[in-house]
Amino acid sequence: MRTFFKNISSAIARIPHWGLIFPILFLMLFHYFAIFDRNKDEKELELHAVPSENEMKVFQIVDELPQNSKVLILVNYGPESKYELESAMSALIGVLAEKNIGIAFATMIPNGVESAFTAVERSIENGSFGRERFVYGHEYTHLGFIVGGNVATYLIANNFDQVKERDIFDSSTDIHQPLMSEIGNISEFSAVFEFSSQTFDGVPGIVSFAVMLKDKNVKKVAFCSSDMLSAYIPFRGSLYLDGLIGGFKSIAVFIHEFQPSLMIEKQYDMLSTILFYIIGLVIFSNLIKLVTKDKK
Amino acid sequence: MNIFNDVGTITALVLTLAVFSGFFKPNPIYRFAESLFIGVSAGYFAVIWYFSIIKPAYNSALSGDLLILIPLLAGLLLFIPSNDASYSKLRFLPAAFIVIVTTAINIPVYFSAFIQEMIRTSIIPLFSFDKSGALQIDMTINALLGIICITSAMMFLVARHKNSSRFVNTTGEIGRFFILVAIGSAFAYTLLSRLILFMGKIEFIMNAAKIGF
Repeated sequence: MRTFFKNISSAIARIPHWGLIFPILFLMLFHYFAIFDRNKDEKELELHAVPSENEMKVFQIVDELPQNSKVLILVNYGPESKYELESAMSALIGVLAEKNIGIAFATMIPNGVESAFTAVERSIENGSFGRERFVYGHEYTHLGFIVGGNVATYLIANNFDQVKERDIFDSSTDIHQPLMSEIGNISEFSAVFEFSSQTFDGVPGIVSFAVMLKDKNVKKVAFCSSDMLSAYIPFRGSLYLDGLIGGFKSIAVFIHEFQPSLMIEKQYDMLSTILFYIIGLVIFSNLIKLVTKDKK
Repeated sequence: MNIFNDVGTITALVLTLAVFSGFFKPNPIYRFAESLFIGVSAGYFAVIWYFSIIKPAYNSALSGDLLILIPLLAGLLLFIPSNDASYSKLRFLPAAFIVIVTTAINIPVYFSAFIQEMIRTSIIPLFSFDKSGALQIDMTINALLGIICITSAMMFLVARHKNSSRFVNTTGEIGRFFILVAIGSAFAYTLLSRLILFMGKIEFIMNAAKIGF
């Protein structure tokens, strides 16, 4: 019996780990989706995550944004973080649209050009507000790709009147856009949000922006993807960041609070299940190694 | 709406499956998707750079702003062949300018963000009390751990060397442990981020399949 068990264990141990992980993940995810729709009426998913003090700060900043004010959103993520950050951004757009807050988008990475438009489309599809309620040039605008990394942050912080001259479609914002004609410099925005999946020369974009902002009083909030969390967390309690929503758990809590119709609970539940299985798989494969005394 | 009417969705679905096929074994379909991705990315970036830099610069020059000719000239200098003995050193002028400007902009940012602010946020009260005056155990433990972590990591990076005392070596080992924890958590967060991306792609495939069939 012992020899039989050893033979089976050593056969499994010979399979390369990644070769084992992906088929299991595939099967598990397909199984999950198959049972989810069947059970969705019976099973009400809940988000088992409580907002932390830091997340509450962001909720407060968003709640306290004055009606009819303007905000700047720096879209520094591309398709690589779409599934993490796009839901959060469309949730934020929904909240801002409800309060009639004008939004100016700008990006400092070439990949981010499309991200703002897809998030707006997603907000509209989600039914947060009608297409006729959210008109380009009146409720939102896109200032395009601002080249130069930290040089771009300097321009945004100190020479915003130059940055906002023309939008992404190369039309003059002062003439064609009532939204931007009222904005002269950066301190006229009530808040600046950054959605980020990368840093510029090792510095988070919003931190670099805050350093260059000097004494101008603007609220600064960052939303970052999980892989950027280790770069953003050191600045969480600093003067450069008024609020941080970092990683999938925080993003899920934010969406659950502001846009429950996006059904983030499903993704959160799915991710927890995957992580549970991966941990199980790692423990299992190490146990096999231990039993078979495989030193490799 | 039948999602399979959407050509974009079908293309995205086929390419996603083609890329996923590379998980098991590199194959011609995977290589085709890989090459297509590289080609499309290069084309996309070329268009973005053209509309973000070249076109506005050209328009400025046409409208009489001749200052734009200076960066144009600097850009052209980079194309001087390196084997041209008389003019090849001119190539270093624009490169040096870029290095100087980037350094000048980054030094204050690095100093403020990574030195000044990190020191400020590291100085925290050792014992935390709530409004009623009771000791906040979690915050106190956090502060203690923070101090141990910072001092030991500094000991590992700065003070520890071959002939260090036993105390320095032991503290350095603790610091090494904390550094490894930081690297491990950064790696785990990256893995988590990629898993979310993978999950999103599977969701996309399932939604396409559900609506299509």
